[in-house]
Amino acid sequence: MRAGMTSSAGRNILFIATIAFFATPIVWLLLAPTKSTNQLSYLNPLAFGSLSQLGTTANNLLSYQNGIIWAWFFNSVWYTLVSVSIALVASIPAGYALAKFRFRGNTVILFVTLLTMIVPAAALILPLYLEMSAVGMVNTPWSVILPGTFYPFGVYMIYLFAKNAIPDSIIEAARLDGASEFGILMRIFVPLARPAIIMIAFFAIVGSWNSFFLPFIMLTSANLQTLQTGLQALVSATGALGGGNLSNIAIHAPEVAFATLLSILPILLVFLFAQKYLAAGQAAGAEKG
Amino acid sequence: MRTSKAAIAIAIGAFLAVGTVGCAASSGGTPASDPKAPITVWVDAARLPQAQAYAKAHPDVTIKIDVISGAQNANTQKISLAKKAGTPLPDVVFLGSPDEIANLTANPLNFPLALNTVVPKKVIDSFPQGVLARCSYGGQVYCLGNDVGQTVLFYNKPLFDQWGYAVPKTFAEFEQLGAKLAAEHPGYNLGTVNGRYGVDAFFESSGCPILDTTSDTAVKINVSSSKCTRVGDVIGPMIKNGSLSTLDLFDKTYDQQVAQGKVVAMVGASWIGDFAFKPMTTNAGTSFDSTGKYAVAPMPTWSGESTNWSGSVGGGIWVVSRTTKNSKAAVAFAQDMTTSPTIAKAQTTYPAYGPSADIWLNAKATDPWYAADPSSVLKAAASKINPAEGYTRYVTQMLDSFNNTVIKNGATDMSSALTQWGQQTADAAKSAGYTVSK
Repeated sequence: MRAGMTSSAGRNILFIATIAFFATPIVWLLLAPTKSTNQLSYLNPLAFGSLSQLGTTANNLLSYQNGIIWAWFFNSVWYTLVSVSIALVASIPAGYALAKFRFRGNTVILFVTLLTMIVPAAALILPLYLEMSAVGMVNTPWSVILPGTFYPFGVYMIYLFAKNAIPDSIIEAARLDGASEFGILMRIFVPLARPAIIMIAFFAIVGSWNSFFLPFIMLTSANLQTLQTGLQALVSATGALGGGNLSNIAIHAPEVAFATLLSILPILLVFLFAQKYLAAGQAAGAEKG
Repeated sequence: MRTSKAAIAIAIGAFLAVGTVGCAASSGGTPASDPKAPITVWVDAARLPQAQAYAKAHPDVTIKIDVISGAQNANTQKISLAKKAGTPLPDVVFLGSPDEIANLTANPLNFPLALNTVVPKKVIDSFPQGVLARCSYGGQVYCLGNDVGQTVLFYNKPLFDQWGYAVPKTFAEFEQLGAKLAAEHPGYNLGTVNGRYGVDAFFESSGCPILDTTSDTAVKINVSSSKCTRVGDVIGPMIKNGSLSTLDLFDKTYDQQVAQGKVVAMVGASWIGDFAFKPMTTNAGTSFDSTGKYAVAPMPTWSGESTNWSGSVGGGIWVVSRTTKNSKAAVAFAQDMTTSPTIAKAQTTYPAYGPSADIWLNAKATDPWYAADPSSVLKAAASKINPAEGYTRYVTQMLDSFNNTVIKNGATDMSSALTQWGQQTADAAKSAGYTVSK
């Protein structure tokens, strides 16, 4: 009995310690914009600063260059939306076709799809830049959007789902009922694959939203920057996260913390919306149908 | 994410290293000047308002302003890619990390225009020699200085008076003061020697050949020189007795020491008053108010020297592209950014251009934060920046090595630490494509 209680207490302590370990930085981040730079140093790390300081922090960030952060935010949103939409439109039929149709080159295409997933993104930067430059798209939104539509992970996940979770008999039955191949894809496969589609869409959104190096290399105009690259330029110019801020720009550690929260908020909202599908999507294809 | 970015940076760094090793830059021919051609300027976020104001005041020139990250080598990466792709290069670039020019001047980038051929000599001569010498190769000047962080001695005047301390005029006196302070007031210190605050303020002012570029592909490194060992002889004992800190100036622990008034003096850049001591002691939750406390004294003199040389910590530069189609407009822009009286008044740090510095110092002379007018000392120090050092492609590795050798082990065995630092720096320089000699 005593051994059981000890074991249970040990588990609880481990559980609480784990929660505290992972939650503390998040709580600190949430509280950081309520403090001044010096308060971040001398106040209790988990103490609340003040609402007026939060207002000052928000105002400093949002008024920088007449609110250019909103342009960066909007750019991130539309680059992500367009990029993910095209990626889904391309990867869903591709994955479905690889799983349900036998054609010459099927295996090779699947193999190449898998291969491209392991190529480091950095290795493609130079050829991508040269490609975009050749068609005059450098420093345009399309230089960020188009490379982002290449999504082999999505193709492979749809392939797995279609192969393992959708029985061929359903598709055969639809064909016997006279449905077209496009109709089968749209009216039968897509509704059934919704959890998997939402899952790959979620990961595509996260990848596109957090993309840094591609827009960093492709874009130079200030008003074309994404939230990630714009904030990085701002932080490096002000030394807000190390070194001194030798400018008159009122961007310091609290403003950077606020910007960080602002940049993860959309992803958090998407996650809350998609979480039940994510759980279902992860299990999709785990069992053969 | 950080790992990923680091991997990317390494990949691009390797790409740049391969691309920039080997050949010296040529001095370039006559720049093109089509008065109707638009110019593109790359600035950091801090320089954006003045660039926009210039564009507004010069409607006759089409000026496209892009904001580029101030991160190390960000400009080099973009220029390198654009050059490979054959896309237009920027006409003017601000380098907040001025060592980037060492990449830009080397082949195959061969980017900057020799400005001494297009900027009036009178203007060139109005910059401190120690500033432009860093970006000069083969007698050609490839940059105009934006601002400069010449080093001086900041000291807490009321505390010096109270404790009966004399302001040290030599580094031997500085070391003696450190020993006295450590014995009489443990917990107080005379500044920090971490990273660039140690290398730039101490080794550079001493003329230690560690970044001594003789061309854009050749460098002298010799830490056994007396100009290096005399620095080790001073800072080694001071690190050991605690009178010199080994923390970074902006480390939160050191920040607290500044906020508590524990920093009695510091050999530091001209900007540390405004951008380190002032903000660190404002609303810092301590009773120490730095207003009216710190005065600025001339740099102490190294043994064997007749001049009290200064070092330089920080400072940005402007570079003009040799491929510009409108060199007249591009040079005029860069020149205005460094010489405009309006910009000088708004400049946050000490302007490199002499007449601009005078304007800037007029405001600083009456700043109540200083215990006494710092202007004459700052001005004299700017003219005494030791011209022995240059911008290099291995400065980051050199600073990392410095912290891992001199800062880490200097208190116990400075001689060995200096040797390791020199060896590691020489290896880094060779990897970056330099021919290393003593």
